[in-house]
Amino acid sequence: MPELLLPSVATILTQRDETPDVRTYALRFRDFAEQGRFSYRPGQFLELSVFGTGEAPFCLASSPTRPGGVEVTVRKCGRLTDALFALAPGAELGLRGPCGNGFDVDAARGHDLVFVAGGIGLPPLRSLIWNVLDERDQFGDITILYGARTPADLVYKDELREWERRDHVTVRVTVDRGAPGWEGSVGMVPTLFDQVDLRPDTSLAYVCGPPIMIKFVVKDLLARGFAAEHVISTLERMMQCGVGKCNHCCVGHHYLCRDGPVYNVREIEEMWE
Amino acid sequence: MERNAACVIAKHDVHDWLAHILDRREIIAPTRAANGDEIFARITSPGEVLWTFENPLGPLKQFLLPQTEPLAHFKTVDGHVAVEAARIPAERVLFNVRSCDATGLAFLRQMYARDLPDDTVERRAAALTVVTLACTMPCPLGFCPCTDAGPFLRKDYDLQLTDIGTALHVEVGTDKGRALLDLSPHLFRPADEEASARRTTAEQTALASFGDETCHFASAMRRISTHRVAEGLWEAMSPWCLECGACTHLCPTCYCFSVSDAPATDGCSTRCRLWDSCQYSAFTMEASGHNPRHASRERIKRRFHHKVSAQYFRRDGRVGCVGCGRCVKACMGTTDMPTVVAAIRHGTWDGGRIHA
Amino acid sequence: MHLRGDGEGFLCVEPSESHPVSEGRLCARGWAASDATRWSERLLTPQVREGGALRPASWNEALGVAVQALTSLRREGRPLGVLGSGRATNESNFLAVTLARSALGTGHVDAGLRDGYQALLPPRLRTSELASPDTDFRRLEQTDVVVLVEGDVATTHPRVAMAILRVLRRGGHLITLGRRRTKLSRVASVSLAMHDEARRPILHALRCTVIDTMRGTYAVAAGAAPSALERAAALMAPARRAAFVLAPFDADTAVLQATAAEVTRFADDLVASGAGAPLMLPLPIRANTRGALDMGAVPDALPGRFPLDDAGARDRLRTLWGGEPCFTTGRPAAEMLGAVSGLVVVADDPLSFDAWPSRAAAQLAALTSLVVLDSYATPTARAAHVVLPIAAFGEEEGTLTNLEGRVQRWRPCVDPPPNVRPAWLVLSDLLHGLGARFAPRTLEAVEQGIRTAVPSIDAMRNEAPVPETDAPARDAAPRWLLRRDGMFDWADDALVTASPILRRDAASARRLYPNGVVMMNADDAGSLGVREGWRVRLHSSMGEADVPVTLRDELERGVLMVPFAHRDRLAAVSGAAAAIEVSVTCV
Ligand SMILES: Cc1cc2nc3c(=O)[nH]c(=O)nc-3n(C[C@H](O)[C@H](O)[C@H](O)COP(=O)(O)OP(=O)(O)OC[C@H]3O[C@@H](n4cnc5c(N)ncnc54)[C@H](O)[C@@H]3O)c2cc1C
Ligand code: SF4
Ligand code: FES
Repeated sequence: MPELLLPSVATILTQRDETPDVRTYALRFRDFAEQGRFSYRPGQFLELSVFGTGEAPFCLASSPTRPGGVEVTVRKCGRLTDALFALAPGAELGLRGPCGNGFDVDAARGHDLVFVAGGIGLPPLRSLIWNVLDERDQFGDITILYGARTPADLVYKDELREWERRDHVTVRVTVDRGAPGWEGSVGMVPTLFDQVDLRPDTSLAYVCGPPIMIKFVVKDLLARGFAAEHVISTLERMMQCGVGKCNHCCVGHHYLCRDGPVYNVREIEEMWE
Repeated sequence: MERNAACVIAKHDVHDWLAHILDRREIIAPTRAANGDEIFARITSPGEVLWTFENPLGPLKQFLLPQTEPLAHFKTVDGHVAVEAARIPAERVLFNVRSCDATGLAFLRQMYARDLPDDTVERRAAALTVVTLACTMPCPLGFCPCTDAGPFLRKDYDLQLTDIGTALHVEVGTDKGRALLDLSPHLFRPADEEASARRTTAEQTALASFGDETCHFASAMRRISTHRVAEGLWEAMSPWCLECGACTHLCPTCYCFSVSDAPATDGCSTRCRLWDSCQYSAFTMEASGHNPRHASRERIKRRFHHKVSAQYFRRDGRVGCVGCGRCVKACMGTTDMPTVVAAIRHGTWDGGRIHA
Repeated sequence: MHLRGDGEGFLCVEPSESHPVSEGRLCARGWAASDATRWSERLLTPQVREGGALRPASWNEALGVAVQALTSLRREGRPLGVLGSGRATNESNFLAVTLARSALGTGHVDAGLRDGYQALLPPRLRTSELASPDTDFRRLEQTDVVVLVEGDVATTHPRVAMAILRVLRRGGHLITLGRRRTKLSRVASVSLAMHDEARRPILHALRCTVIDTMRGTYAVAAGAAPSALERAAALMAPARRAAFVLAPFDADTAVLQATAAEVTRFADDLVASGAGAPLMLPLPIRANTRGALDMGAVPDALPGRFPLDDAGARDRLRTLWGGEPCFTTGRPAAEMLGAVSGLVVVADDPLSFDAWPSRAAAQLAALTSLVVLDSYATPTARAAHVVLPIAAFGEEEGTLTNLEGRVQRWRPCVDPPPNVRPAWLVLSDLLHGLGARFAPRTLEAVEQGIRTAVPSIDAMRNEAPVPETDAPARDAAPRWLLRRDGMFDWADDALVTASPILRRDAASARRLYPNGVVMMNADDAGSLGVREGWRVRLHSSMGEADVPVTLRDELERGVLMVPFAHRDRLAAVSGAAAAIEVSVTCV
């Protein structure tokens, strides 16, 4: 469909419950050729339509190295997500995108990579992580630090274990509040920094999560010697069109849906409204 | 095409011309509503067109970017969803448009064409022919010379009409404009030197009568662009904005929108683009409830940053204001463009008593 | 305002410059007026309840079921009631009253949210003076001092706020008396913070200080800085013309009436001391609350606001309606749900304004017959036995009376959905089915009927003045007062919920605090050791409940405020009371 704001029809292939209110959907465009043409970068997002309800942005959680479909991980929190959760595999919904700039994967080649995620911030990083793991020889050591409120709020539990088994991959998980049966770390994400070997000179750090967590993690990383350009994060704003027209996502004259949502910390520091 | 393409039509022939256009196209023109208001609306006979009028308050942009614009219909057929692009209205002529509004339409079109082009808007724009009536007298609240949007236009029109006494001087801006003349070629003759001279005089007279009472953007822009407007000024202004959204709804250059689906009535739902307003607090409210522009002062600041900052000026090539004066008339409070620009220049806010 | 169709059922709003009230200005809800027809969950076909669930029905069947249920309840002598609405036209309200007093023979007729407004009408203004231009916005704009009692008028009545801002621009003054910081209190010359119980004493003190200042018998103590009250009095004393704007607030009727009485005495004293007669403007919540009141949708008056025993009014109604209508006093809306067996609701949702929604829901569920006429699938409509879908704003013709007393005509600009009828016609069908003599078949006939019942607005007669009741005396200020926030609830305004643009605020606020919340002054929280989001236990004479708190600077100390939307969460503590003393403990 040529129109800028018109969605294409896609089908829910499978769904998997990550937590009671977070679900990962595998989707495929109904039109085979369109699925074949669809290419994207980690960190980009889709505008997902539930027909008759509306549209909202969701990060692509799958890796472009694995064609044939896309995945999004969604937290149920309102009108649209309620309607989405009411659909079943086989149901049709709309997709539009990809939108946004995404992570610069090429620039990351040859570097050690540190991924720091909080809560529902892991999906966009998961896209990048799988991309990196699928092209393993082109990247250095990988450190994945992930925090959630409680053990029940952790997403991609199986994959965390799988990543950990790979060579030169370190995974550390923490929760704010423990629960019976939880034997891992308890504490905010930055407490994990002391458990791993951070190499600010050779590393790029990717930080995604709630704004408050991003704030503390970034501060900590800078204090540990990371250059602001080497700490890469995503900004959040309310978004509607995802294509730079509706003005919902502006910070000053920056349009987070077009030139963002991925920025390095230097760029973020220079933004103002 | 420019000058040498100019022609004239005798005033007593204008009705015939309009009748010829009406045979083929819909005409939207300033006309008198039942309650006496002057509004832009579809006319059915040439006599309904107003020639002396104050620019209607209702914005012309609704014909390019309707308040509620259907974008697509979603129909379920045999268990599958069919996405159907919404119909674009047939060709229309916008007649006796004021220069500021023509500039506004061109600006909106530019906003939707830049970067990723929006084909819906482009198709709507392509179906419009804009015939302007140059302003030979300033309107009471307008300040278009400060925004480079009038009283006469150099671009952004299909046809520009100027009242030169017993005739209208007609400048042809585009082929679409030319096509309207070709509907009644016998009514037009090339503009002679006298007609051209009258046209020039009319423009000079109009410009001269604006006087000095205008809106000075330059120093306000410097302050806004360099973050040198005192935070206290926005705070002081904020109770004087009642958050009605009129300024954004009526502004010829405002184009914020939201997208929403009108619920299915007969198994067919409609995705619509609706005017939104950056002055509404929920405009930036995120799903988490966090709102980066929670305070009214943040939103007012945002509006003027978008319209009067060097950052946007560099991007768009103009200020986001065409000097039509609608916000001055429609603001329930006093935070309209000229008042705020003046306050920024002076660095103080006095509740808009200046214009009272 | 012009509403224009685009041929596809979507509307566009255009302000009308020549309109005497709006002068080309529209508030956010005015701008969203075009959304209601398409974005709300519309009722598109008549429905009747069968086996516990609503199912579609034909008009004939649905009307038949309604008529039969109401007839047999009436025959059994069971109580019946009718709710008109500030959301319905004058014509619909008049027919709702006809339905009650003529066809059903009941005095239980009212309009929701009418109560607070009517109580705030100072007694004097309940007479013919209401129709005088005294309440004209333009007169308001020409006053020298505006005394604004309560409320966030910038949000609830932007057109009034605009008039007040104009007073300020002309160099006039604003004095606000209210319990929280609002846009208008921020631009006020003097802002007196107060809560309900202090309203009357403060008004009283202000009155005395002003009058004494005018008489030269009051002077600020030498050397002392004038108090806020003295500063306010100093602004009011020299004013040629003052205005009292009474915004809707949520309190018991007695408190409302006492406030109104105090304001009236204030006005009388000003006149007696030689100032111009002040303008008094109580503000209703719904667009046509004033019209519903004038049309008689009240339990204690007849159309035209004639007292129930007014012989002339009775005769006119007998002539128009035939037979002997019911002239007894009925129950007000707040009591009606629990007092009747059969209820007809015209274009409103009692659950949205009732002080104790879960109790109201239980009462609705207990009705033998609930007939709801509405355009939208409100919770009340979902609870109905018979649903009759009516045309929405912009789809039907009719008149509304604004708060100034101007009767304004609305003309349809889009067609209603195919199986939907104008409310007046549906009411007329019900009247016809119930055998009423006055069952007009045209809108003109309805209007003619109104003219018969209310020959002219000038003919309105004095009502008995409201008896004065003093606010209950208190020994000491309560340590904590739990009170409901203003009863205007943005989230329950039809124009808000129907607009995809506007409804975001309300929806999000409710989502933020799904389990309810109380607002608390930040300093109070500090001394209690409570932080944002923490839970406290409230304990009152009625019961107790745990709720999270959210901190607000603009609240005065010692007051806990429940957002109107969450009042039901605290029903265990406060029931339907607007304010109640509580103790607070951290949990
Ligand atoms: C770039 C980007 C990527 C995102 N990725 C994910 C993701 O991977 N997984 C996930 O669960 N959530 C993600 N979100 C948040 C997600 O878009 C919101 O949770 C969603 O819009 C909520 O919609 P709702 O209708 O259920 O909630 P409601 O609040 O009822 O929706 C109201 C409307 O507001 C809009 N809205 C509200 N909050 C936001 C917001 N933060 N951003 C954009 N629009 C908003 C929506 O368009 C929606 O139509 C992302 C947001 C952005 C901006
Ligand atoms: S600036 Fe004026 S017109 Fe704009 S939203 Fe505020 S009150 Fe309304
Ligand atoms: S989301 Fe519309 S401009 Fe960015």
